[in-house]
Amino acid sequence: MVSEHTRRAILGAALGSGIAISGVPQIRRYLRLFAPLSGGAWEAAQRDPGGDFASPYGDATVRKDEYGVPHVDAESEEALAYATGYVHGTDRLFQMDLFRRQMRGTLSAVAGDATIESDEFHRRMDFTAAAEATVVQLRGTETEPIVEAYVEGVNKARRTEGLQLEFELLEYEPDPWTATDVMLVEKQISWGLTGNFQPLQESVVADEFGEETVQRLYPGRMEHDSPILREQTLESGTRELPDGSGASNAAAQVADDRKSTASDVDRKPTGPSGTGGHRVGPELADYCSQFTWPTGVGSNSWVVSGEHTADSEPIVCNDPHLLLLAPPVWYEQHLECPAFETRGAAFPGAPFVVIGENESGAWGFTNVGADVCDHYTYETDGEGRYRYGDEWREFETEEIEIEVDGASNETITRRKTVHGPVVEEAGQEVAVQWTGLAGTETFAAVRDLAYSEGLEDAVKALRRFDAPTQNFVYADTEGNTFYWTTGRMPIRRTDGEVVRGDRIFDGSAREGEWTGFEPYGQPTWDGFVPFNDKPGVVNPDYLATANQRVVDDPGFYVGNGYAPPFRGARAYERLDDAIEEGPVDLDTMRDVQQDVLDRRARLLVPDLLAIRDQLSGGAAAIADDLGSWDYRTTKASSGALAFDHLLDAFRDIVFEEPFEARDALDDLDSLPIPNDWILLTLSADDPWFERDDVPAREDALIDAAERAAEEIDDEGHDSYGDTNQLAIEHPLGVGFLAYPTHPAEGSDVTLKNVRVDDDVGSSWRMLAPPNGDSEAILPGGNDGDYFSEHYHDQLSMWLEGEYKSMAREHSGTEFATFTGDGGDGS
Amino acid sequence: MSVLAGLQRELERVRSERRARWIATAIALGIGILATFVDPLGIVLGAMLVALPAIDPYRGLLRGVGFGALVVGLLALQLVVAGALAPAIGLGLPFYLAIGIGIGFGLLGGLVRGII
Repeated sequence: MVSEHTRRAILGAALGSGIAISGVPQIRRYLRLFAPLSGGAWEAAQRDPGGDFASPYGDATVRKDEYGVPHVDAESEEALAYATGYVHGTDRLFQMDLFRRQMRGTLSAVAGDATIESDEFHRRMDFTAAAEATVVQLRGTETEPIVEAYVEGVNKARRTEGLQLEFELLEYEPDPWTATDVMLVEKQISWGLTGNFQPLQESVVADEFGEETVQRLYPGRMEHDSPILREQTLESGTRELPDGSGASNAAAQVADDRKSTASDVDRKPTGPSGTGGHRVGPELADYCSQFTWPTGVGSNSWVVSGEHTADSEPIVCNDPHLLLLAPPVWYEQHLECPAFETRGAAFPGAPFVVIGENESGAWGFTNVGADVCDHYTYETDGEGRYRYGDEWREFETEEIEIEVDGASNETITRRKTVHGPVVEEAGQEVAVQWTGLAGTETFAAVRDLAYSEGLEDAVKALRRFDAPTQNFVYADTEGNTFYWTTGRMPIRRTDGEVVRGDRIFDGSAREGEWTGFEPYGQPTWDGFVPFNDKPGVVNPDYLATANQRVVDDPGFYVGNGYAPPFRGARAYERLDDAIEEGPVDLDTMRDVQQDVLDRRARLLVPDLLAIRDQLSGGAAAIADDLGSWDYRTTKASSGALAFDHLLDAFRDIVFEEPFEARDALDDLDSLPIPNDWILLTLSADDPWFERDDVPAREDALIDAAERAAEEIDDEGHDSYGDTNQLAIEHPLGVGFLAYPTHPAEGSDVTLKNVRVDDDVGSSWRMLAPPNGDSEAILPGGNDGDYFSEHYHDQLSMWLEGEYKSMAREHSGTEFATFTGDGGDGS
Repeated sequence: MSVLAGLQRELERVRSERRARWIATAIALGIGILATFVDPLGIVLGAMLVALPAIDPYRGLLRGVGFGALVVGLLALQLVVAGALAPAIGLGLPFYLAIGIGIGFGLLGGLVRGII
């Protein structure tokens, strides 16, 4: 029998050990987070936001409706901005802080060494300096005090409302929000939409497969007949912009621009598409590509005039395809002050409705795919200098220390040239010149849209919209419709001749020079395509944008980042049919936005069926499935499942495997393989199919069908929904913060857009008749607080193609009031 | 007479008198629960304080576990009031960890009755 002394010793040791173990740092961390009653996670769970607050900016009331959408009513625009900042700071502060850290290059300070590469890249690019330049650009404008009030509102919430779960998990408190952070929001979106390293990737392909191959596989122009501005679209409207109060200023601007850019003819670029002959290594191309958004991120929008609608009123529809994240990229809000009333989607971190409507009109944006980002190599002397024309210049250098949580800090040297920041990897480097790396007025333009009282005002606002390059669609309550491209489109010159930008330039030889632009400075519109000359049309009868080529002959080089025309052509196909059948209404628009027909199938399935007699076993069954398929990617479809696997296998055989077989490309994280339009339209007698490492097209298709059959059999899937599972993740990668996984219909190229591999898709669907009842839906929920009932309350509706009202009514329960007669904002 | 001996004698008195035992337990509960709001080890402390007046070590252990369960129950109550119980359970592992920490630390604290 154990003596009492021994028992006490054993129990004492057990108790002491238990307490000691709880002091181990990692265990202690879990205890701080999850111990009942004291754990930070449970503190976050009990946040009870809202209340009555003092405001230094005036009275405002915030109501939240059944979907957590804030309806803000204020006595002034400043009071409105303060209250808007408060709700953003309450609902989305972690998301705002995370993106801010990404753009500032300070992620590693809270996330550890996993994000050092990202921090290095973003510090080298110095987006923060560009945001600071934007703050300077807006100094003295009417936008400046609005941004200041918004920032104060965010910080009031930061101090008042307790921290969201993510802050507790990472155990840090966010720094105060600033005007620079507001501008970083614009830089982040702009970089995502227009930042690219495509010429670097193409130079790698040229090294491996030859320049001629690059020109065939990455053509400057994809041949199709569905540009945004079709001949009949242009003929239905006019190029004459409406006059307005700002017309004289605008006219002067255009006149100045013309002085420097001469005529349209003078802006025709010289030389074919291709790499231009300059090279970088695959390591740099691969490294840089991880800091751009997935290839093909795009969006849909269309506008139909009252001539074709049942109620004779125009309709604007828009669904931007951005990253699908928990919480969503967008935040829905309804704002009203004496000067304007607007409702729509905003980026958390900035106060303005970007896509939406006001009392006078509705508008939306899609990405143009314009080339506004150039890359330069230099001759260097090994002593910190680079040659620029006839002179040797010192790199502008700065030592930067990157703070790393749980590891040693890292020091890098940031270098800049006359063109912009230098990015480097494995001894390879290029300088980057990008229109967003300077002061911009985009948020001032977006604010002006809220104020707009019709088409003339909207056009005036749009003239200030300088980054990113966007397709803008608009309709107003007077029945006007409108499409125009926005943003600075640089005119590059080499030896005085205008050149295309789809190449790496020799910076030392002063190739691809821009004018009117100094990195991190205050650019003018000299040296950029004047607003009036950009592609666009006033009062078209109907028009669809889906990132396809804007127009067949714009008169200048726009870019080669256009999306394959699958969605653009499908949108026009549906609209053409609907309009021919009779007047359209919101039901029609809803149906078009939910279209899941995959036009890639039309290019591949008939070819497979034509060789049906050469197939056997599972491959023959695949062909039979596809033979009776309607090309719609619905969840229950077995044909869609077969096509999905067939296309993946065909792509692997034709492009991925030959690319991977090259030693230089084998280790790359992201292979720069051509897009699906090229894959499916490359003719059987193209030299690519004569290579030793690529089978003939017909053999590739047979092989693909056999592989697809095997894969489907191995996975045990019966329908498309089994394989097309959408798992929207949280940026932290923490499983319990992710949205529930659901089967989804649609594909990379359907109008109802979802790319489950990249978590990209319709980030906001909106149907907006300026004189009717608008509808919208988010892929998740409006509140970024995991414990909120609005964390993902719209997700199922979004998946099922449902919408909710966008009525501009101050409905719901009172969330917060702000009174401006005694507070100091603290 | 040493202080320790005095305390031991007082503890014995509390353990042997029903009324004193319950008063001591009530005070221990109050202090313990307050401590759990301050630090995770407050659960161990609370369980120890609640266990000490128990008649024997086995009851002390039960009291410790009971205290841990009470703490978990209070957390659940807090979450219900905040309308966050369902998402908290939805967290999965972290929520079960909280239950484990509560019961485990209660058990650990309850061991003290076998020592003193």
